[in-house]
Amino acid sequence: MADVEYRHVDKIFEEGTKALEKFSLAVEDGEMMVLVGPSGCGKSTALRLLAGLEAVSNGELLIGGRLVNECSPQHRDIAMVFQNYALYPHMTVRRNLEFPLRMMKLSKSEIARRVEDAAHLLTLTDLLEKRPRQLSGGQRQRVAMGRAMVRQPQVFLMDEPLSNLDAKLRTQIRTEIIRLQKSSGVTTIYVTHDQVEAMTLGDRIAILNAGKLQQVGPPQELYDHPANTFVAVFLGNPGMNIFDATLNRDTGMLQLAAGAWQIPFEPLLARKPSLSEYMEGAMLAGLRPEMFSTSTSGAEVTVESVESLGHECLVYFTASCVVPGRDQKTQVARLPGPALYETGNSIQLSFDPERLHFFTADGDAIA
Amino acid sequence: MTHRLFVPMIYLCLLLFGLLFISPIGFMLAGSLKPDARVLVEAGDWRAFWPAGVTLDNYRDVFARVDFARYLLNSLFINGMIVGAGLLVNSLAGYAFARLLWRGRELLFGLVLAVMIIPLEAIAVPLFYMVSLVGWRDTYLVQILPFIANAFSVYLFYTYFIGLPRELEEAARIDGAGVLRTYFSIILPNAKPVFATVAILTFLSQWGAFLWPLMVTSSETVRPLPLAIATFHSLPPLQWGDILAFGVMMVLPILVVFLLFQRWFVRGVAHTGIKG
Repeated sequence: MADVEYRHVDKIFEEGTKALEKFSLAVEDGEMMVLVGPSGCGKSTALRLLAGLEAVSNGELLIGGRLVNECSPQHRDIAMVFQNYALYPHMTVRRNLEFPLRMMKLSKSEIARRVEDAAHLLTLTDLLEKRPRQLSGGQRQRVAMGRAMVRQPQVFLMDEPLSNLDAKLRTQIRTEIIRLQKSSGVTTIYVTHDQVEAMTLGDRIAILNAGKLQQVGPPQELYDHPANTFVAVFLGNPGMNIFDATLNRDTGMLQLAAGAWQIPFEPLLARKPSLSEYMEGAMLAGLRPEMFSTSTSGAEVTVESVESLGHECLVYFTASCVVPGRDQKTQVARLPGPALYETGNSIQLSFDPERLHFFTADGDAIA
Repeated sequence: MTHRLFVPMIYLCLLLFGLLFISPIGFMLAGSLKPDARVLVEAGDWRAFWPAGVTLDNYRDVFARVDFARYLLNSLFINGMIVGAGLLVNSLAGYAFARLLWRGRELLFGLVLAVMIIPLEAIAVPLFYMVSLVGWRDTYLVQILPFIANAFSVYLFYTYFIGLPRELEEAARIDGAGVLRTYFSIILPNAKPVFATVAILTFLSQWGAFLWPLMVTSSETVRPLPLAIATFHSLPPLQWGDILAFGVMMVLPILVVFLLFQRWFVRGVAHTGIKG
């Protein structure tokens, strides 16, 4: 087991693409760290750098306190699970599991013991003599996990290992991964673009966008206290609503969404004095969809569409606001119960102002 | 109605073309099995393809008149060496071009591609001069060495390797395998079709090699079959049945090689996008 550290790491590809910029992240020993972000954000590059499959352009990479920038993959004591599993097609499951152990030049008895243990743990015993093409997606995934586990490495790297599985199997294997990671206690870095996977798997989550680390912390903390609007909108399904917001000194009101909601700002200032710096200036306010409720005293909005999820529904509505640089005109409220709302009708929505998040016009959270 | 006729018509056309292409081999096989006197007499009608009164006399004649076994062994040895060593050298080169990062890779690969268009005839004389200088004339080596490295084979391997999932190699590297180990344990077993394709193409192109062996060899002990059949043809008396029997025995190894690797060859051709 070992801790992992990225220190001011840059990755610039030959053609000039900047995949990572001043990326710093410390992963603690035994921790499950999830790197999450949209496609092309640099999360897979960060993982491949650590694996030694790509070379670092600038900065330092440490595994267990040892600088590994110049180390070849086999000398980093890591194991990786690939998105498409990368099982060796010409080998049986047993040979696939044995391969890394043969490379380590372990004794035959030790190899057999480790393979049997991994096969037992992952319920692969009956499949040991089959070839990868004879296995289902879930079984292949388990073999890929097994091949990583038998090495007993210091660090597990997982590059979107569930993205080729159907939704049900994904949930099932997610639970399995958590169980295996906790029981083995091996430091794990897990890359995904799926924020649900990130929220459920990670001890901590690191969110990346355009090659830059946006925020790192425990899932709930990121959800409750996003560092910027990117994190706020990225986490949550659907993400946070972002409105334009103005503190009107004359009326003493916080105006949200071009005045759709008017809220006395004194109590907010008492809670967050730094807001006063933005008096009359441009800023943004965020609100999670589940914080809305219907109320006769709420602001009237027009329902644009409704998605029923059975026990609750997502009501999309247009609030007449223009957030600079964002296409956020359509907002969403998550309301309990079956969908009783119809497109084109008006409903009145209100919320607890305490639940509002505030951001600068550039999108950074106001402390 | 038109559609119902269309498919049988296609089959009929294919059958006719098939027969057309196979007819020289049929003529050769039938001619080799009939008495020498009838070969030319029956050449003008359907009996050219029908060996009534089968005899193996022509085959016996070939063995009696020349040391056929020696020539056959020479050809098998020379071609076997070219194919075997060629597979190793060209596949490793193709792999290095497709997957390894090194300075000057693009430039050198461009040069390799450029070399493909230079025919042997263009370099035969300077090459002859070079091998004469080092004293290699009239040896096996001179017939093998210049043909091991082959730009077209390198290109075929390159095209195949570039299409293999990169993750396989990355997984092997992380599992602790070095470049050569990855190549032999992971890449090679997953590239059988291209190996079969290159093996067959090399064998086909080298089996009939004539000009170069004619230039660099003079003794029977190292000469291959194509030179032998040329000599045999000019050996009096002119017996067509014997010549056809010689031809059948010369074609046989190619057919065997093709049939052995046919399954992979078709897959390899489909994958590398070459025309046979």
